[in-house]
Amino acid sequence: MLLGAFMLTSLAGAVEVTSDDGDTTLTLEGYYRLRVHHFSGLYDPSSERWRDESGAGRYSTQRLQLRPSINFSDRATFFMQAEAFNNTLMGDNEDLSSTAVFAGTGGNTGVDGQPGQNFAVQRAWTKFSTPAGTVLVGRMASHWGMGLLANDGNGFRNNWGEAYNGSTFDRIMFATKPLAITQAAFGVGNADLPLIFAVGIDRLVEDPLKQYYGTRCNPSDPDDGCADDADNDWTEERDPSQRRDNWWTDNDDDVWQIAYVLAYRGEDLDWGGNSTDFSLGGLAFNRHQRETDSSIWVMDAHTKLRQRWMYVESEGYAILGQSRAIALPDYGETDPLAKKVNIWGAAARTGYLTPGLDITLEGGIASGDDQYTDANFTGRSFQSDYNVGLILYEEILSRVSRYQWGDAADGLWSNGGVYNSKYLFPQVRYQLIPGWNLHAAFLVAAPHRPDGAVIAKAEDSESAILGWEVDAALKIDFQEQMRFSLEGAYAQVSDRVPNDVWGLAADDQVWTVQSRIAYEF
Amino acid sequence: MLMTLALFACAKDAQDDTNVVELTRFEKEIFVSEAPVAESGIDLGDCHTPDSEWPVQVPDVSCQAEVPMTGVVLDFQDDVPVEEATTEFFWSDLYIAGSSDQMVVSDESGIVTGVARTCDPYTYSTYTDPDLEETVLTIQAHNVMPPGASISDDLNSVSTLTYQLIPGLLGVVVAPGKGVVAGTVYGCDRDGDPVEFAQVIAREKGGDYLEDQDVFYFQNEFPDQNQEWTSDDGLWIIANVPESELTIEVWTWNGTEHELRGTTDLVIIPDSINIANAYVGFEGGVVYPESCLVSCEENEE
Repeated sequence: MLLGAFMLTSLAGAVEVTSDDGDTTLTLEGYYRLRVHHFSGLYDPSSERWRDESGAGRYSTQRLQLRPSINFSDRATFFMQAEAFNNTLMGDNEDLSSTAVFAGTGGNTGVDGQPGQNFAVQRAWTKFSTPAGTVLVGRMASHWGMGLLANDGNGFRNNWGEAYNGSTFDRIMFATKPLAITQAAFGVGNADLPLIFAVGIDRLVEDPLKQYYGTRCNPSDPDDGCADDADNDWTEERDPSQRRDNWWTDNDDDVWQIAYVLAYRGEDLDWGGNSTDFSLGGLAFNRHQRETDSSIWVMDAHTKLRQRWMYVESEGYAILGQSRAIALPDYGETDPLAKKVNIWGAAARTGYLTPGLDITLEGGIASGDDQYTDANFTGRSFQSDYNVGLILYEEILSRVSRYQWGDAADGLWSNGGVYNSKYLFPQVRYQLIPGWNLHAAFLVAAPHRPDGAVIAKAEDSESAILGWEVDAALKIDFQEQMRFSLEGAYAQVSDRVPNDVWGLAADDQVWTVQSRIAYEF
Repeated sequence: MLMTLALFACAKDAQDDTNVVELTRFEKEIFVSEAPVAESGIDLGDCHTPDSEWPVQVPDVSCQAEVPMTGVVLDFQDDVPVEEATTEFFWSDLYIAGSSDQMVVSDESGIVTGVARTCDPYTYSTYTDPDLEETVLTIQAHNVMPPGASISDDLNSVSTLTYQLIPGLLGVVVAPGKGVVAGTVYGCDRDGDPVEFAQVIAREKGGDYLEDQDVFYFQNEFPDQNQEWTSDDGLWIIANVPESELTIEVWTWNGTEHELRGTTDLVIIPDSINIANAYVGFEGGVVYPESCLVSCEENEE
């Protein structure tokens, strides 16, 4: 967590071991979960793509997540996050046994059909205190606000489905309470005010291996040696074998960003005699890559208010700037690779929250791009671990965008995040008995800027919406540590989504039943 | 519900049908208002006067011979060799599934060897193992090799990724069972330059213009939604054409009206890409090199 990472969290089930002198504490958090999926109608059995495979089927995935930390007197802490069986399917899917019917030990195959690693360290970082603040160094989780942009993917934050791809950065960050410094230095300011400022540097790429679609030409320089625009078509295949000993000294191709955070986090505030939680903050990244003239500002604001039964939370982001790194040239322009980046998105929730009943209404929008080969790049989906429903975004649009763009343009996949659309998502939770909760939700989504490929344009379709879905769940917490969830959904997909082209959603209908059992510690 | 209506009210573009003139398919596709230009500056009127009969080329039989052929199957987009590509040749210049005259498979360098006929139009197709879904059936019609003792040629293979990506970037999806046609408009002769300011339209052979056709053009050999006619690369693509025999017509603007300047005939196979160039001043798409039109015996003498 961007901010939470330097504040100790304490989950009820965490395992803690403290040294005899009391200085060092080893804490182990994490979970083991098993999720069973059943889908009907997700794949159209009449489509040639699936070669008469059934339209209904089921699979089960599991994950063990370990988040150990070693805390020395609250002055220095080491954190680590590792995953085993990372969304591995149950069973032997790697031909480990001589005969399938006598299979025993399972393999590490994921739902993509590819064998994965049995155990992988995803994150490791340390933080330590200085007189002026806290320093964090390492490969760490990044989470901000509701998780639309930066989402660590940890725990079971989603009501629907699982988180699979948390945001991680190689980061060096300094965080402080500025008013504590002004208080210490000048006697001004309230040192206890929960106002936090942080600044950091993220090293994103030292040497890119993606094929470079570059340019030797400067459109504004007639003496650049380029005869015409065609000279812009310079590509460079990049391969680790081509690296010389000093490959890391080329700084032009480095990608890095500076991160700034300013956040107020008030908890249990006395507002009008009522206990109130209120937070407000802004996050900004300034990202650079010299060889592609990329300079992009990523800005995100988040606020949350919780008082008695009232709950309001919202997050909005904008990604603005310029880049020549996006290999979708517009030859109608003087500089075919020059792109203006103008991406934005937002989500807001409001509701009535009580121990026995929650009623919330959520709406959101993720900007799309109706023309990828023009001079404006405007589309990006929400971070894929911010789940909205179980089917429409998570299964249908994620597949359609993946099949449409293929590996050649994997940056345009939605990966399950809210994609080029606006949505409404009212939800209700009703507590049957303590620890037993019923959830229900309704999702309806409409296109933002239809691109004609993943989302059909208005003139080529009859429907105004992408589709709708109904979700329901029973969630039970028991034996203190155990988390059980039974989730189901039914979705109708409209003619705005070319699901039939890709052999998805037979009769434009899909339903699913999924179940999770987890031990969380 | 009110919020739902408010949020989505503007989702569907309002379409006011009042005073809207319904354009014909031809009017929707052919509207260029610039005279055609070939890069070399040749006068495209020299090769054919629009009101006159299409010229008839007759290759000299002395130039038509079966000779050894070496080809390289190359990816249409990246120009990298495609291995294990089955390449079929149709000497009748007509693709008929399962009835090729010669079938060869490319080696690890994409090279195929066999025989081919000079000065005699032929069609070839390339494809790889369909189970691997690496390439789509690629058909190129109206190839004519100049006279010579042997032939070497580059053979196109379109990857599945390109087949999906290019229409996607243009804002269309190729429906299953439909095909894609692509080519270049050239001027006057087989060695002519690409022609700028031309437009193409597909019609059933001897019939009507196709109502469902998505016509696009390129800029600098890259698909461009905003390009309304051929740029100086001469490239065009028509997506979602049905299985049929088609004629692709090339139209240009003469300052007063649009003129039919060339055609190319194709057989469309579902889920495939058909590549066929069209030449200003020629009908049908078959254009012989000048060297095929004179006696090869005389040349040798």
